[in-house]
Amino acid sequence: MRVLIDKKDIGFFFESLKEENTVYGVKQKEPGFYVFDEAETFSDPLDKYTPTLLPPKKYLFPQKETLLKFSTTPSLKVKQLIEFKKQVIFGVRPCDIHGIKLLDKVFTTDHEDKNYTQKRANTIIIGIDCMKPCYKYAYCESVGCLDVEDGFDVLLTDMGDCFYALIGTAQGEAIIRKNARFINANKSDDEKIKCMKEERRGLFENKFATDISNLPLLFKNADNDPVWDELNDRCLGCGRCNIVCPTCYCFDVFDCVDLNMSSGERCRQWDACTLKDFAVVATGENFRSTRGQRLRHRFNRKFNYLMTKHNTSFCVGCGRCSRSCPVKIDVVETVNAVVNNRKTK
Amino acid sequence: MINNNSLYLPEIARIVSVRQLTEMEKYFEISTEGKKEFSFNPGQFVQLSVFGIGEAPISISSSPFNKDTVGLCIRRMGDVTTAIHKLEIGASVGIRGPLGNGFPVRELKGKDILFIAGGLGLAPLRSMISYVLEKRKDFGRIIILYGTKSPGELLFRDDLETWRQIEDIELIITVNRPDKDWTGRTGVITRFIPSLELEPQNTYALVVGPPVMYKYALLELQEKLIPENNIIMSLERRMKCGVGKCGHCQINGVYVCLDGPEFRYHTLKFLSEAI
Repeated sequence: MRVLIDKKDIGFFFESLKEENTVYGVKQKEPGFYVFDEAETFSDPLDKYTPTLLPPKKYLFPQKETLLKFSTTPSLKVKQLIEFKKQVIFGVRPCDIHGIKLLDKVFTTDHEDKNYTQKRANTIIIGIDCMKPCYKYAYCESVGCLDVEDGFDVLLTDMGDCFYALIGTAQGEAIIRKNARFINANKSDDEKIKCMKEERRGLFENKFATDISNLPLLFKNADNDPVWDELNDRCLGCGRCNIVCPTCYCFDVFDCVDLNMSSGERCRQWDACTLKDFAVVATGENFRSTRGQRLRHRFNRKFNYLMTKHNTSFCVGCGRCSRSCPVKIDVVETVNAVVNNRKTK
Repeated sequence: MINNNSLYLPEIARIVSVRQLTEMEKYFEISTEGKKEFSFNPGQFVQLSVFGIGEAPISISSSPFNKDTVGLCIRRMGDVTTAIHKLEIGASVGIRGPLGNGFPVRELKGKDILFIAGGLGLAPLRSMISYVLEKRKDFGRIIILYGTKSPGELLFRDDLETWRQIEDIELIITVNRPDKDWTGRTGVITRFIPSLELEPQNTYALVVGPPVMYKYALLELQEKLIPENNIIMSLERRMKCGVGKCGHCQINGVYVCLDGPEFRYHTLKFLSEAI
C-alpha cells in the first residue's frame, strides 16, 4: 500500500502519533548538526539533512541500561529488568534503517536478547528517503544502503508539496489509517518516485574502489597491510567511531551498588573495541594492544567478520565515523587503501 | 541451559564447600540446591556473579558425572575473583551457564589422550580427566603433563596423588623453579613432550595453559606429527555476556564464548590474534 500525505498534514500525522507513543524526531542541535530527540512537532530538515550526531540505535540499545536489579539482604534476590515503551522514531534515513536491520540480526542470532527485541517490537519506524547525497562523508550507495526495501513501517519520500508514503508493515498501515490524513497514490505517483530513485544513482563521489562483495576476502588477506601501521600512528584510540556507529553494539557489563551497600543494579553500557583495555584478560595480556590492531579489528568487523557471518555489509555508509574522527581517519580512504594495496600485490 | 527469556539472569546458588588449594587459588563447590540439575560437558564454563561486584567467566573443574554441585577453581586476580575468595560456605552467588562447547568427548573415545596443563590450565582439564577416569575403558593411553612455576602452585594435590597411584595413567609433573624440598622433575612442561612415544594419528592433545606455553607446545606437538585437527586448546578471553553479543572475547571472526572456548589448531592457525 502507498498513499500521499499533503505536507501541511504531516504535522498532524506526527502529533497524532504522540497520543499513544513517545515520538522521537530529528531536531537541529546547532546549525548543521542534528540529533534524534523527543519532539513536540515535526521539524525534519528534509533536503538539508545530514546524519544525526548519534544514530537512532540509542532508543533500541540505550547507551546504558539496567539488566538486573538485586538486593543482598536479608537474602539474595535477583530479578531481570526488560524495559520498553511504545515509541515512534520519525525521520529515520535509509542508512539508519539498514543499521537497525543489522542490529535486529545481531540481537536475534544465536541467542535472542530480549532487552533489545522487546524495545524493537514496540517501536514504529517512520523512514524518510534520501534523494541526494546528504554530505561529503556519505557512501551509502557503495555499501548497498541507499535503497531500502523493508525494516520500516512507513517510508516517506518528499515529492515537493506532499509525501509519498510507502507502507512496509501491517502496523504501518494501521497507523496511516488511524493517524494520518491521506489520499491514495496512483500509478503516475509510483512512476514519479521510480524516476526520482533512478536519478539519485551515481551521485556519490565518495565511493569504494571495488564492489562491496569483494571486501571480506580482501580484508581476510590484509592482516599485514601497511595501512594498519599508518593508522596505528594516527589513531588516538578514543572510541568515537564506535560510539557514533549505527551498527556497533559491543558493551560492557558492571554492577552499581546503592548507598545502602545491599541493593543495586547490573547494567550494560556501550563499549568500544578501539579502546585500549577492550581485549585485556585477567592475567594482563592484551590480545589487541596496539591502536592499529584495534582499528583493523573494527574494520574487519564491518567488512569481513560480521559480513561473513551474516552475509551482508556491517557498514551502512552513513559516514558518521569519518565525520567525527578527531584525526580524520576516513572509512572510504582506508577501504580503498586496502583495495589498492591488494591490487598491487 | 541458557534461557532466551532470561539471557542475563543468573541462577542463585550457594557455596557448599571451600578449599584453599594454593596461596592464590581456592576450590569452590556451588549448588543450586536441587532447583536445577547441573549438566555440562567437560571444558564448558560458567559466568559467576558476586552481586555488587560483577560477573566473571570461570571454567568448570568438577566431574560431569556429579550433577549436584559444580566445582570451580578460582585464582584471586580481579575484582570478582577477589570478592569470591572472601566468601565462605553458605554464601549466595549467581551462576549462568554452562556456556561454551567443551571438549569433543565422543570424538575422543578410543583415542590416546595427552593432557598438557600449564598452571591454572589444570582447572578446565580436571573435568575432562575426571570424565576419562570414570569411563577409563573407552579411552586408550592417558598421559598427563602438568607444570607450574613453583611447587607451591601445584593445584589439586590430592588428585595428583590419586592419579599417580593409578597404573594406566602416565603422569609427569614438573616445576620451573624448584625449592629445596622438591625432588621431582624440573623445567618447562614442553620439555617433556619430545621423550614421549606417541602414535600420532591416534593421539589427541588437549592443551590448556598460558599463551606462551601454547607456542612451544605447538612446536613440540607438530614435531611429533600430531594432526592439527587433534590438537585442541582452550582459550582465555575477557567476557562480559558469554552469549556472543558483547564483543569482548572475539578473536578475528570467532567468539570464544560461542565457538570455543576449545579450538582445534587447524582453526586457530588462521586466527592471527589467537595466541
